[in-house]
Amino acid sequence: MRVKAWTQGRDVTLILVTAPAKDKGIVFLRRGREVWNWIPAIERNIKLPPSMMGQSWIGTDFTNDDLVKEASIVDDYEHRLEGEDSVGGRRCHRIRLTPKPEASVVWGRLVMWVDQRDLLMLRTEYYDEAGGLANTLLASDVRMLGGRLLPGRVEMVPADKKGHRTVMTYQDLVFDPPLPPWFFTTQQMSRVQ
Amino acid sequence: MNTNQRDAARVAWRNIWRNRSRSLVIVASVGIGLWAGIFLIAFYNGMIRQRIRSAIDREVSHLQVHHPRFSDDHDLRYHLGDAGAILGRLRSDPGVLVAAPRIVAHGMVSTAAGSAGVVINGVDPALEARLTLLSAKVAEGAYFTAGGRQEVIVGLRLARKLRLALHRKLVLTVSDRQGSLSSAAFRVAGIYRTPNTPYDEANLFIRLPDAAALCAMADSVNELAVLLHRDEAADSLAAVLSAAFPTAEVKAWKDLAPEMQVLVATTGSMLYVFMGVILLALGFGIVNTMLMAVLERTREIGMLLALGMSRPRVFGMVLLETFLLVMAGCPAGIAAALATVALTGRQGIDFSVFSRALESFGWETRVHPQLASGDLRRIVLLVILTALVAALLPARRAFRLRPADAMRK
Amino acid sequence: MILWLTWRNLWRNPRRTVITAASVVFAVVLAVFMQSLQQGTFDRLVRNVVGFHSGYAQVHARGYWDEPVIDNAFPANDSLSAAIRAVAGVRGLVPRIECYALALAGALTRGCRVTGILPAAEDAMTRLASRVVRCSYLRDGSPSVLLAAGPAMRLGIDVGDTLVLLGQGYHGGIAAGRYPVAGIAAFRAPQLDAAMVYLTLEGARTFLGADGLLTSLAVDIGDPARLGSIMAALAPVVDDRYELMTWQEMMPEIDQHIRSDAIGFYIWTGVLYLIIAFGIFSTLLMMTAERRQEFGMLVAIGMRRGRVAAMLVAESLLISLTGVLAGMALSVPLVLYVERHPIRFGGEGARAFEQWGFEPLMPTSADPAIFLRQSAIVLAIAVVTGSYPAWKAMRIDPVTDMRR
Repeated sequence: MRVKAWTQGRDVTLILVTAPAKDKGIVFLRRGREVWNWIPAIERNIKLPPSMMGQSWIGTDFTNDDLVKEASIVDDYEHRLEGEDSVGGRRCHRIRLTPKPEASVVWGRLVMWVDQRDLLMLRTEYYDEAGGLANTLLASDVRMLGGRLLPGRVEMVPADKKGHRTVMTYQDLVFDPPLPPWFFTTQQMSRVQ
Repeated sequence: MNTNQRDAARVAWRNIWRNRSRSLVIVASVGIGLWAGIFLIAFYNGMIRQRIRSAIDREVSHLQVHHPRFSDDHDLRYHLGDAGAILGRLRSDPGVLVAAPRIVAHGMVSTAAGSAGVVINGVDPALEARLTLLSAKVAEGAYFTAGGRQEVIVGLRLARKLRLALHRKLVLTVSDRQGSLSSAAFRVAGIYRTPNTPYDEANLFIRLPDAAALCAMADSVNELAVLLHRDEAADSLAAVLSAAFPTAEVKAWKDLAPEMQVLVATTGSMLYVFMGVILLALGFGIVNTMLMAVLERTREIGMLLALGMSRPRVFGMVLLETFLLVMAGCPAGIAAALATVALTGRQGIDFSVFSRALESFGWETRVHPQLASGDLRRIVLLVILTALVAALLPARRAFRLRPADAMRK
Repeated sequence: MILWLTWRNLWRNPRRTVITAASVVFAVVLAVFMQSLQQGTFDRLVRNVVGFHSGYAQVHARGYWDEPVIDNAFPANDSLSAAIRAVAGVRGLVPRIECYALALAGALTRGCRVTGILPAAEDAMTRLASRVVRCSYLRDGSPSVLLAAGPAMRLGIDVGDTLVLLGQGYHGGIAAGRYPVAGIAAFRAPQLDAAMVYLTLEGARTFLGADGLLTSLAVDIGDPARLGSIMAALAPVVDDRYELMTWQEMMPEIDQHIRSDAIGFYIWTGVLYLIIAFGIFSTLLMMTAERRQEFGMLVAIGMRRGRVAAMLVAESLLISLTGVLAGMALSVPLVLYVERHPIRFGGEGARAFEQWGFEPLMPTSADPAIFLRQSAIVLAIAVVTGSYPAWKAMRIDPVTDMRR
């Protein structure tokens, strides 16, 4: 599967699926906590109801809900520096994230490894409240993308589904492209290329 | 009463005492028939009540009030604007036992193990406990502890499905009244269980204020549930309420749990047939007995006819005998029946001893027989009628007797 | 010798014999009728309920029932289907692929339950075609959808409009499709809260990206009394990859209701037996009283009491047996008639039935086990009560008893 994605700040994302042919033209728009989905096969734009938020995002190990959760890493957790480890040959800070009591996150805790030199998140482990590992997010293949040093490969490995993993490789990144203000709108979804 | 009539009556009376065992048999038949009939009606009433009770007391209540479009589309837009007024009206009605407001929202529950669609019920814990005995259904943990915050009570089946345990966290997501997605975290305070597993899987309970915050419905609710003192009052109260608040939709339990009607109907229709069968058996027993009696006394009857007693009088005599015997059987039968009903009505008949497969939810398997007004009268009349009709055949036999043949025996 | 005496005794007073035997006959007929009516009516209720959708039993991939998601579908397996059909008593096999999805029309969306069906097989079990109220039923190869009336009304669409379905397909892919509405079906059961939407099996498979897969095989059987033996025969055919579930396991609440109702009827039947016993007893009581003189005479001329008793037992046995056999013979046409022409009931109960699309009928069940069981019980009652005359005979005092 190939996608094109546009992101503005932390709240707005537009994703266009370009391959395979079966799913080509499907568009996701995320604004804040809402997600819209444009499906060319039915020529309809749907705002995802809560019942669909828990479903897998186009067949990956991410859920639709994960699309909206980005900001929560900072806001919903207490962070504590725990130590140092080496990940993928790089020295990393190990940070423990504990959800705030009122935060609407399902995890019991997160453990995150952030590269000390370039401040890249290289590994995150998601634990449920009983302490069992639920998911692992891995970032690797650090290289220049769009003029910045970033991991070119992100992998999500669920702990309970044997043999499943979702791998995202970044082919190309462009920073600060000129985008019209009406770009991140539902009307745009059917027209985006 | 003239001499002849008095004679006939005297003969009838003497006949009764002359053959004590036969008389006793008829008296006992009638008594048993009455006991059976009365007990069965009471038992049937008890069975129906138990069915209805389990639906009303534990799930749908007697009445529910919603916005007219809520049943079709559970969007939170369709809430009760005048909930306060309706509640006031309900609480002032002496027939109302409990009237509870709720916020009901269809949303999603997520845990680390997965997510599922659920019905989120925002309730007032004290009222809900009286309304649906929710507190009694809690199998593990506690029912909304005092001072607890963001507590949720989930069904056992859902807990299993999402691997939830006490004090674990879950996240509820709904589309709030403005249509935006809203989430909040809750902790499992208790796990409940009912015999209805689809219900367990779909329904969870949080406090009403928490639901209001989640759904952006600070000032209104979308459901009112009412429990009455008497089942029969449901329809009339529904009508009164609908008239007083035309913008709201009031439904009685019969519409809320229509599958109940089907099961009740099956049992009810069979009752008539079974009663008929039992009355037939009773009637036949009496016919047999009296016929035997008449045949046995052929010679004596023949003699009476020869001595000048008119046929109609003989007919009447046999009929009178039967009638007296039937009347004698009534008090015993009725008394026995009332005693049985009173005894079993209080204790209830526990079915779990008969079937291991039935869930061991104590209150679900007990039937408390009880008589409705008019039942007793109807059964007694039916039994007496049956007995008298049954007596006609032997009496006719006696009527048709030819003295010459009779005397020859 | 005893037999011959017995026979002669019985025919010495034919009326008395006939009356006694008649009470046994009547008892058998009543008991059989009551039991077969009860069983027939409940069987009919179960058939109505399972015929609605679930079938008497279903085969799924192991684990599907606990987690009914499309990823737990299984590949259609011809040998499995053939083996199931080959089991005696299986009347039909209905393959389906089911999932939850969103139905969209205009600005409105509703959750719905999508079922991919083979139109002919589905209709054979659930009479789906008979529920179609507007336009037509699905045909094989049709790209259209059959929609339940409730959601059609709420979505504001009708025959000829287009329904859009959206959901999660096999392996998580997006499932989306547009379908012209071919027909509208009326499901009066208001309890079906998810809208029923039917596609052809192939149409649903394309929608879900689930080629060659099924989520369930529903089993229809001819004679509900044989469900147990049919399930036992199916168990070895269905291997570990699958799970085989009866309707009782799939709908335990309904099973529970029916069971507890059945228990109530045991009590009623018990009462009937009591009345029957009493009826037979009363005739025997009077017969004994009437023949007191006769017994006294027999003993006086030298017959041993035991012999008299034995003779009476023989009489009672003979009458009971003949009565039971005659009763069985008489009850057969009665039961068969009511089976073909069930009793129709009315009133509020009938309306509840009709609301669900059930006919308010009470048929009898011609299960031979009922005849045998009830006859055996009545025979037992007759024999037990028949021991009374014999017991009385043992206590004969010729002097007093010969006096009138």
